Amino acid sequence: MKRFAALVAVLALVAFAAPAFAANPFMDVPMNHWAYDAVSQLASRGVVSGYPDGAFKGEWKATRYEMASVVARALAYVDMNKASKQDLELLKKLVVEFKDELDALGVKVDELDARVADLEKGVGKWYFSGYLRMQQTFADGDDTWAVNRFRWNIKKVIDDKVTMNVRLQGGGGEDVAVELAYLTIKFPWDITATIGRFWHDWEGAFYAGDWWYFAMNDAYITDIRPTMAWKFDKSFGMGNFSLYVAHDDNKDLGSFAVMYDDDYDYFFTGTRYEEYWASAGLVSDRYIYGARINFNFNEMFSLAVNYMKYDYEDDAEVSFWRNEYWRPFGAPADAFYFYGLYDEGGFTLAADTATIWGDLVVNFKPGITFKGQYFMQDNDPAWQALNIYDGGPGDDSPNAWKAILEIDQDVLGFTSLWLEYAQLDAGFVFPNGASPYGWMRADSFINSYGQVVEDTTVWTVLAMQRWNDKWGTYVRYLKADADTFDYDNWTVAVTHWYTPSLAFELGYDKLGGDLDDDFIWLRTTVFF
Amino acid sequence: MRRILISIVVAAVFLSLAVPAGAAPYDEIMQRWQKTQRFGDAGDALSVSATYFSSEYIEALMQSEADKNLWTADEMDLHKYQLLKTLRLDDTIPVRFRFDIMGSAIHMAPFGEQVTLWIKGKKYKPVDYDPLLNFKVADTAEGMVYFPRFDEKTGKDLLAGAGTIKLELSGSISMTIKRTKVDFIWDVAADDPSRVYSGQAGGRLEMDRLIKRLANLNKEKQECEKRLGELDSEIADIEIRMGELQQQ
Repeated sequence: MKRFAALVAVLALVAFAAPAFAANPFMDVPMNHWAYDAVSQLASRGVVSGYPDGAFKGEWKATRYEMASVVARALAYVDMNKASKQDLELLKKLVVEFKDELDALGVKVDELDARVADLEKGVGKWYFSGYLRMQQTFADGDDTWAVNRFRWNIKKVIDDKVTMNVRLQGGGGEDVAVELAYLTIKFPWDITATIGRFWHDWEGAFYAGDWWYFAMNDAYITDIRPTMAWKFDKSFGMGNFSLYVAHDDNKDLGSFAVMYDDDYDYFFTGTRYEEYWASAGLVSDRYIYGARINFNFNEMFSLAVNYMKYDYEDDAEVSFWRNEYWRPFGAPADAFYFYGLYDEGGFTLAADTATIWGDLVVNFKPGITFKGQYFMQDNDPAWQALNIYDGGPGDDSPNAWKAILEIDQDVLGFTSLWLEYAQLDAGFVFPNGASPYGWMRADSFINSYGQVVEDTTVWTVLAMQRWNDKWGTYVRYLKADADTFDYDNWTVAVTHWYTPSLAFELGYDKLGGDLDDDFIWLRTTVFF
Repeated sequence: MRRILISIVVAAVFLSLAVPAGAAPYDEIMQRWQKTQRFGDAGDALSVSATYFSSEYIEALMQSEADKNLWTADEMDLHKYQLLKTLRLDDTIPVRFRFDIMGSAIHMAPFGEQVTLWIKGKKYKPVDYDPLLNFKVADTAEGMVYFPRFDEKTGKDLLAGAGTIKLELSGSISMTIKRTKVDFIWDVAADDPSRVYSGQAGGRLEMDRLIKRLANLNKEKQECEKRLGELDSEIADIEIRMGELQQQ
């Protein structure tokens, strides 16, 4: 900014000083003039091209007009990926030197000012970044070594109003593909539009991470990446208003699930065991739309109200089945013999789900924050399949809530702390079809449709320590508790940044309670 | 297990409410004015800190640095003078940004377009910022951003009567940030910038201002004297000519 201001000042000075001591434009530029050297330097570094007659070999003696023409073309064709700060300084110097001739050539100095300013600010440049991650997992009899993820971000600032972002991603058994592709556009009245395929997340402040190199992201309704979406954000004094609409073609949510089983003792014949199933299949176009308003009352207190509906064009096919098994007298206690399969009928049921929820954030001391969310859901009958078969219809409006206490490492000195308690009603739907507790293997209370199987409470604890710029550690704990299951999940890990761009993470994950499993992993990630 | 977890929560609450052992009283003040937000996206991580230079923060920062570096009172005054000169509080609202990247590099150019300060429902763009923020950040970057302190037309102090201000950073600086905007909020009603100008540092800054003003006045005086000389010369010429005409 300062350099640009200085340039503008110099240009103004030159403009007002003309024509009293303006040079003759047809006069040759002396061969020992610094401009030759400047243009040669830019050419040798590949920053500029396109000289008169396609060549500039150091023997060419130019008039001031010709040299001005070179400068004008240099500015027009400068290779923005190769231009360094030093190159830009040289270009600026050339613009100042040949300002009068550029004027005479009809090249507006104002436009050049803007062009040089854009160059300095990076407008028009392509930017590249990303990472490559390798992971080795050591588990009982199932070790895996893999290039876990390759991520390549591409960004281009098209002009002062439009930015384009594209992300290519692959690894972990998937080919490299376009994960994200979107435009950010600034409109009048402080409206920003995001258009394309992008992550949409209104719950980022309400989960502990994606932080460092592990996922611990329990966003319930958002954090979605549909095929194509529009989002509008409007800022005002102390708040923001957002609108979101997306469309997915043929979204396949898959099918589920075993729902109910029972057994009965029969005096003469043994034991009859019945297993009831409902399976629901849903492949349909869907719209997702929602709105959010967030208001910061002051630095301590903010509130937000959100609404999001997943609206399916087609209904779900829901079928019910019953299997019967028998264990005759004398058979081992765990031996059941298949007896019969009965089709109990099927239905075509609507599968929309809508959620309204409120967010509350209270920063009651620097570095200490309380956060709360309360979700109220309104689900169509397909989501109540479990309860329909079991005498339903069941609850079509399950709720969920979570409360979080977050403490920064600066406060406690040795560690940060994230304490989260959540309660989820049976039937509560994570409408994107994916479990928000899918990190590691902590989501056994959710069926493959993204629905909570029974009333569940979840504790999540995360303690992270950043010891210095080289070392970090974390411990996390999850405990899920319901009527028929109870398990926990421990993780400890240490991260070492060998250089700021290269990190190693060694970790151990343990499933306890009703589940029993563990594994060790080593991750190597290089960033660029 | 439930008891253990509840015990952890209770202990955490007590820990957080108590001032940690060894923490200086100014730590909490500094934490209040330096806000940090963290973002992650499946292996990419980024933290953004924004610091508002309230008078309270500046005093706490100076005290903290003095304690760390065992400064004398004179050294503290000297450093305060240098800090205040950098902050340009007399005509701008300075904010320091710090970016810590633990993931893909970020490119924020043109940075001036990425930040907006909201005061009393009106928005303001930076008048100046550290050009370093326009270049690739792969590790850590810090830079000052200056917003106008006075209304361009009326010359009134923009912060006069302001209760809470919002600094808005565009989420498009990094694909790791999934939000469109990142807000930093400060209550500035009780802030009194004039407090920082007490003591020797304030005196030196005032002296700087007076020297600048004196130089401007001297320049004006010289211009006036030059003009006066021209007028005297013209008057003398006219008087001579008038004398000549009277003699004819």
